[in-house]
Amino acid sequence: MNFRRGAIITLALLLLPLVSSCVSVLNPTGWAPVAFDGETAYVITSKGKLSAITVTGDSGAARWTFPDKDRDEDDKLDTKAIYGAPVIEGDRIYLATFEAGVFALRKEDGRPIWPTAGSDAASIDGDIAGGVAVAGENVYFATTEGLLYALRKDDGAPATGWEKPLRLGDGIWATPVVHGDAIYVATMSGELHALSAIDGSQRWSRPFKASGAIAELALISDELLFVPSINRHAYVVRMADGSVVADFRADDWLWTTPGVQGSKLFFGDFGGSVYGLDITSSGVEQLWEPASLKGERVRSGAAVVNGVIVVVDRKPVVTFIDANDGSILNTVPIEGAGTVRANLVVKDGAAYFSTTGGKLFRAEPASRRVVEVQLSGVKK
Amino acid sequence: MIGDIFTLLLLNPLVNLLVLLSHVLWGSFGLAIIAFTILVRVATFPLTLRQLHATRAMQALQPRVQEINKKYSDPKRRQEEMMKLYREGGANPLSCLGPILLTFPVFIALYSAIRIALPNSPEALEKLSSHIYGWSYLQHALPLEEHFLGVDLRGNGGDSLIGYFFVAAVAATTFIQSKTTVTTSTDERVRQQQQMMNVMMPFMFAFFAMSFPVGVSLYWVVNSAAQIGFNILTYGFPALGLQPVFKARAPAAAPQAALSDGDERTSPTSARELRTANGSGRSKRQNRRRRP
Repeated sequence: MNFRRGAIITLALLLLPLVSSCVSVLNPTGWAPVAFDGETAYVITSKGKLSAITVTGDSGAARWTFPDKDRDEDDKLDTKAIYGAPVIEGDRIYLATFEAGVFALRKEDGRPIWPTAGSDAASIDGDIAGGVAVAGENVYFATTEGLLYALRKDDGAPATGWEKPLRLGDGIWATPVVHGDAIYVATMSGELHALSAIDGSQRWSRPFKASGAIAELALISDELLFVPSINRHAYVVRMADGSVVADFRADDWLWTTPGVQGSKLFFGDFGGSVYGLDITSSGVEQLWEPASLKGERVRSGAAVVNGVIVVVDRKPVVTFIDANDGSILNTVPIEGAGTVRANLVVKDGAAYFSTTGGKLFRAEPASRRVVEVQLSGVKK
Repeated sequence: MIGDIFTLLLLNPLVNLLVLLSHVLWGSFGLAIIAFTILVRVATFPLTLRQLHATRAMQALQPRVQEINKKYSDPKRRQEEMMKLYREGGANPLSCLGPILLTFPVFIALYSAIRIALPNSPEALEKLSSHIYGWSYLQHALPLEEHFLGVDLRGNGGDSLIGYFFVAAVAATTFIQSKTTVTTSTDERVRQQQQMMNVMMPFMFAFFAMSFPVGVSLYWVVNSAAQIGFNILTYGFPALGLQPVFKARAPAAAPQAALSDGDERTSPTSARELRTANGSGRSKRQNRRRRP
C-alpha cells in the first residue's frame, strides 16, 4: 500500500462517521401508549421514563416519575425505552422496559416492589420490544431473542413451570396477548403460537404461519386476533384453532393495532393509507377505498369513537375520518411535539396519545379538534 | 439534497441488494456481505487491473523522476518536465486513485447500509421500511439475521471477543495487502516512509475496526483478501515462488530528453523486481557498493 493510497483511506475512515451521519439510524425511544386508571394517566414523559399524571380538564400534574433521577437507587437505572403499555392491577403497575427488565411498581408512589435492588435485567436474554401481559398469578413478557418468560406477580421470581424461558423463534417484538388461560405470542419469524398460560404447552396442532414478520398482535373480540405482518398482510385468526378468517393485503407495511367497532376494523399502513374492513362469515369486505394520509407512515393504532376514526401519522398529523364512507373530516397538524408512534387510547369519548417529545394530546372526534394536555411537575 | 441523492442512488440499492443476497444465501447477512464484496470486486476488476498497471508504469518511471528532481531546481520547470515524462511514458499519476475513489462511496454506503439493514431498535426497523423496495421477495426476508460466526454484525469490533478476531483480521489483511503491493518510489527516504506506513496502517485500521460494526470489518477483510489476490496475480509473490498471471503492459519508451545519462536506472525495471533480484529494498548499485 503506497503512501498516497494509505492517506486517502485513512482520511476516508476519519470522515466516515461524519458522512454517514447524513443517514441517521434510530436508537430506541419507545412508544408505549397512555394507560388510564380513573383520572390518572400513565404517560411516557421522556425517553424510558413513566410518569403518573393526574389529569384535570386540559391540564395534568405529575405525581411521580420512574426512574427518578433524584433517587440514588435509580441513578444507574437506564431503561433505554418503554414500548408496551403499563398494566395496572390492584395497587400495582407492571412495566416492561427495553433494557432494564420488568418492574412491579407501587401505584401510589411509583417505587419498585420488585426487583428490590435495581434491575434483574442480567437474567433476561435480549431486550423487551413489547409490553407485559398479566394473567392469573403471572406476568408474561417476551424478548428480542425469541424467549417467553413468566414471572410471579408477587415477587418477580420465575413462575412455577416457567423456571426456564420458552424459546419460540428468532425474536419476539409484539406484546403477548392473554385470553382466558391461553397466551398468544407472535414472532418476527412470522409464527403465531397459542400456549397454555399454565405450563407453556402448545394449544394448536401447529403454529399459525404468516408470510412475514409479525411485530404487533391485538385482540379484536373474544374469538379473534388481529395479526398484522410487515410484508403487508393483515390476518384475522381464530383463537380457538389458529385458522385464518381473513387475509387482507395492504399497500405497505403493517405494524399497528386496529380501531374496532363491532365487526369493523380500521387501521393505517406505512404508506399512509387507512383501511376500513368488515369481517364477514366469508372473510373480510373492504368498506371503502383507502383514505390517504399523503404517504406518511402510520405506526400508531387507530381509535374509533362514535363513528369517527382517529388516526395519527408520524409527522404527526391527526386525521378524523368518517367510519361510514372513509371521507376525511378534518386534519390537525401538530408542531414541535416530536413524532407519534404510540397507539391511541379511548377515554370519555376522546382519543389520547403521547408523542416522542413527552407531550400528551387529546383528540376530540365530536369537535374534530386536538387539545394538548398541559403537563406540570414532570421530572425529565 | 446530497444526502437524498446518496440515499436514492447508492444507499437504497445497496440495502436492497444486501437484503436480496441475504435471502438467497440462506438468510445469512454475513454471507451477503461477502458475496456483495466479491460482486463489487468482479465488477470493478477492469478498473483494478488498470490501476495495477498504472502503478507499474509509474514505478518504471521513478528513476527518471529522480533524475528530473536532481536536474531542475526551478519547481515550475521541474513540474513541466515531470508532466512531459508522464505523458510520454504513458503514465497518469491520478489513475491510481480511480478504484479508491470508487471504493470510498461504496464503503460509506455499506457502513450506512449495515446500520440500516440490521436495526437495533423497533424505530430503526420502522425506518427500514422507507429504504426497502416494494417487492414481496424482499419483504419476506425481513428482519435479517444479525449474527454471523457467533458475532453480532451490528456490534462494534471492540464489543466482544469474536469482534476482536475481526479486528485482528483487519490488521492482518491490511498488512499482507501492503506487503504484496509494489512500491512506486526508488527514493530511499520515501521507501522508508512507506515501510513505516505499512507497519502503521494495520494498527490504525485495527483501531478504526474496534469502533466500526463488525459487518464493516468483514467487508474490509474480504475486500483486502481480494486485493491481495489481485496483487499476487499481477505482480506475483516471489517469496512463495508465484509468478504474475496478468502480464503488465510495457511502459512507453523512455523519453530521452528528460534523462541526463543512459545508465541502468533508466531501464523500466520494477521496484518489485529490484527488491527480489537484489535483496530486499536494495538496488544493484547498492549491492555493488557493499561488495569488497
